[in-house]
Amino acid sequence: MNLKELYQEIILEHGKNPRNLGKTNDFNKDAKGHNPLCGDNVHVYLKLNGQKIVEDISFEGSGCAISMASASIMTDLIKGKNEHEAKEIVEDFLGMIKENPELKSEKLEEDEKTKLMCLSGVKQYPMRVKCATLSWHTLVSAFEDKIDQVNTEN
Amino acid sequence: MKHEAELVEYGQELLQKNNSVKLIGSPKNKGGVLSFTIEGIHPHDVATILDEDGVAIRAGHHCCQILHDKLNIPASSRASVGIYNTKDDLDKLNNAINNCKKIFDLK
Repeated sequence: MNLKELYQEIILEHGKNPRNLGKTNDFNKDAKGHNPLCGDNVHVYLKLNGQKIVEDISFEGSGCAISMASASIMTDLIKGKNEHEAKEIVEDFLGMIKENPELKSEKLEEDEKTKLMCLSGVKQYPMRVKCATLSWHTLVSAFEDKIDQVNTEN
Repeated sequence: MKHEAELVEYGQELLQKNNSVKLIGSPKNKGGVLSFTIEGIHPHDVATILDEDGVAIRAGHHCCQILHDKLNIPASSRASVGIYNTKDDLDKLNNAINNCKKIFDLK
């Protein structure tokens, strides 16, 4: 997939209609992420139940199409997963976007892998990888109750 | 200097006529840069898409985050001209911006 195809798919799907945009009611975990180089901002909200399953997840933010689409896709995939599964998916995604040719996690259904692989074209543009990964690092920070804001330059 | 000034003036005229493009700054003595935003498209996306069309610009804060806060914009795009540029390059910039707008479905 070349970059223009990537943008077509992302813009149509998630740019105009981002999934899970907003602030979750009764969230019990949250974290903020920021890319100081370009101004991408994201705030991820989680509602975990007693079994550590993500009952609800949402995000607020402003930034480039890739960062917002990645956040939108992420919230779609993580909803309903438990914390352990979510973290495994995050590791898988980060591995794929940086170097691995495909997603390996068994915690993802085939159609979920297809959705996530839409972002694989970003790895041809190393400068944009941080845009794609910002919300995912922020998600982990939310799970781990980190106080400091996620910063792509740390 | 005269060459750069002519190019910047040409570039400003082109971009001013371009809907959705907003030029930033209009000082009397202008350097060889055209800073702009495109409504609805983040500068990072503008830069990457323009790159595909062979037009290299910078995007981000250009080492002046405070100014961007003051202008209430998350980031900006910046094209600069030098002795090696021609009006043709600015036409290419404008065409590439139009392609970018098409991808984002802007008029």
